[in-house]
Amino acid sequence: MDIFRYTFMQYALINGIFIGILCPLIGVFLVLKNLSLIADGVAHFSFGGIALGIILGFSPNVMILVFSIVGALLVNYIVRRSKLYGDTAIAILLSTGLALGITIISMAKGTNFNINSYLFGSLLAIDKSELVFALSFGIPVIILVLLLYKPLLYITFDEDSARASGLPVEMLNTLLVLIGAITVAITIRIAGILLASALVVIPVATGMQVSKSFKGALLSSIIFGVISVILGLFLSYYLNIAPGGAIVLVNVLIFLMSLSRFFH
Amino acid sequence: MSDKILEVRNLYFRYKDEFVLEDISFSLNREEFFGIIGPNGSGKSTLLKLIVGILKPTDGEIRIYTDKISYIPQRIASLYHLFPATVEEIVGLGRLSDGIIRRFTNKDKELIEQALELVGLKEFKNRKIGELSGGQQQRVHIARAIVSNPDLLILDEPTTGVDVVNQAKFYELLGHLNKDMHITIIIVSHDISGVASEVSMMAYLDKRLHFIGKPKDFFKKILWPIEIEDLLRG
Ligand SMILES: Nc1ncnc2c1ncn2[C@@H]1O[C@H](COP(=O)(O)OP(=O)(O)OP(=O)(O)O)[C@@H](O)[C@H]1O
Ligand SMILES: [Mg+2]
Repeated sequence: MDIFRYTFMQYALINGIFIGILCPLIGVFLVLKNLSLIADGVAHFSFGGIALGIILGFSPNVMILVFSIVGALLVNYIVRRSKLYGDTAIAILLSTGLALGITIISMAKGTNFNINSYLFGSLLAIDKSELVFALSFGIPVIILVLLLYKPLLYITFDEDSARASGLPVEMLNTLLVLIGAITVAITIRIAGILLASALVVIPVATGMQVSKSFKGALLSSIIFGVISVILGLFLSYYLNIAPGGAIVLVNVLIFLMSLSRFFH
Repeated sequence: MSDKILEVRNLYFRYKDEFVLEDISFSLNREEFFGIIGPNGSGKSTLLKLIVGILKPTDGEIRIYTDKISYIPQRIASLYHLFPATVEEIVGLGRLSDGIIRRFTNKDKELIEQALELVGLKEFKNRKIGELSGGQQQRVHIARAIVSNPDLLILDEPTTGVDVVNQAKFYELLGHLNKDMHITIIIVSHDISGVASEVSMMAYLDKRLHFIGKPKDFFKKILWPIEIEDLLRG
């Protein structure tokens, strides 16, 4: 196909499919733990990191990773220590990151930096080093989840029972938000800060509509995630529209279809 | 065999300023069937959470002489109507007590089948958990709890929302687990008559342990069920 003559399209496709697998794989645990919004919170929090990176001269990608991880650990800590629901803790984190970012950018008016590519994503601008970055953090995450699939399911289903059976619940919880953070950091490059969480949440929401087993929900979310990326990428190429937006819209469309009787 | 499985000594616990449990001391032998009753807010669930290690004592100590414990929290059945998991998947979680990173062997699968058979849910194993009735879901949790071959099974009001006929069957199942499978059971319940007819030992808790002993002594001491019901209403 002529769309893949271009190296940038090949990179975009590989990275996109990878994200299409990775996001729902982690997302299914986050969604079922009522932490759907954590991806959104963490992504917005990393906006502060990007801004900080610009004025300090650090690589934005590294700052995104660091801020995502710190943000996720903060949410985990706040949820466990305060009397707040997860979504409130996330709302606080989200605003903090945005406020920090806006403040810093307003101070550093002189710098001409394309913040748009971080807000909206730029799948088509991925180069080889960024692909390697995504794979080298993402593959260990996938391996970890495959190894810990059952204990993660147990703490998602019922923490107290899991704890009584001797599972290391705190450790597994921390691990889950950590790999969630890494996933978001990788995804921001594609879908942008504003839409990263969509790739984590929407395929899972769709998967939950069509399956009665956990394994089924997990596999179907991944299939929906990958299909959306591929379709979205084609649409963006042939219609000349933003790939991040196209991928998310395809996701939403499939979700809406899953609600109809046709799927059941 | 009558060695101890649990010892609680001078246990105190508070969430905030006010003590919820005060000076609780008792011990439990293996293969005992122990029922705890008490009014709402009397600290029953708190005591169970302390025993399984979800909460830490403010003062005093708890010793458990086994690490094979299964716990079924209060109201667990109502929480999962949307959760995408089959009965078989949920029951399988119980097998993780033998190691969390491993593939299930044929032995695991066999144990899961047996547990499902025992609670009478074999034909429901591929059903989504949320598509079962409350009583059936309760039995899924029992299967999950016993599939790990526990020494100690701890249940917090497992028969809430279960009809009388099924409650009787439920107690029969617990009796079987206790007598034939030699599992020590601790159960919290509001259903005094059901508990009293099955258990070998019972306690009346209301911040302090007001009674602990054989069910027949409980009725002798408290005299008349009406009085107990008054007590339970607080
Ligand atoms: N997480 C908590 N934080 C603060 N106080 C709590 C908490 N959980 C329970 N309590 C209080 O501790 C006391 C004992 O609660 P507990 O849940 O142990 O009662 P219970 O005997 O199980 O009641 P029920 O029959 O309603 O289940 C109550 O007064 C309750 O308000
Ligand atoms: Mg209770």
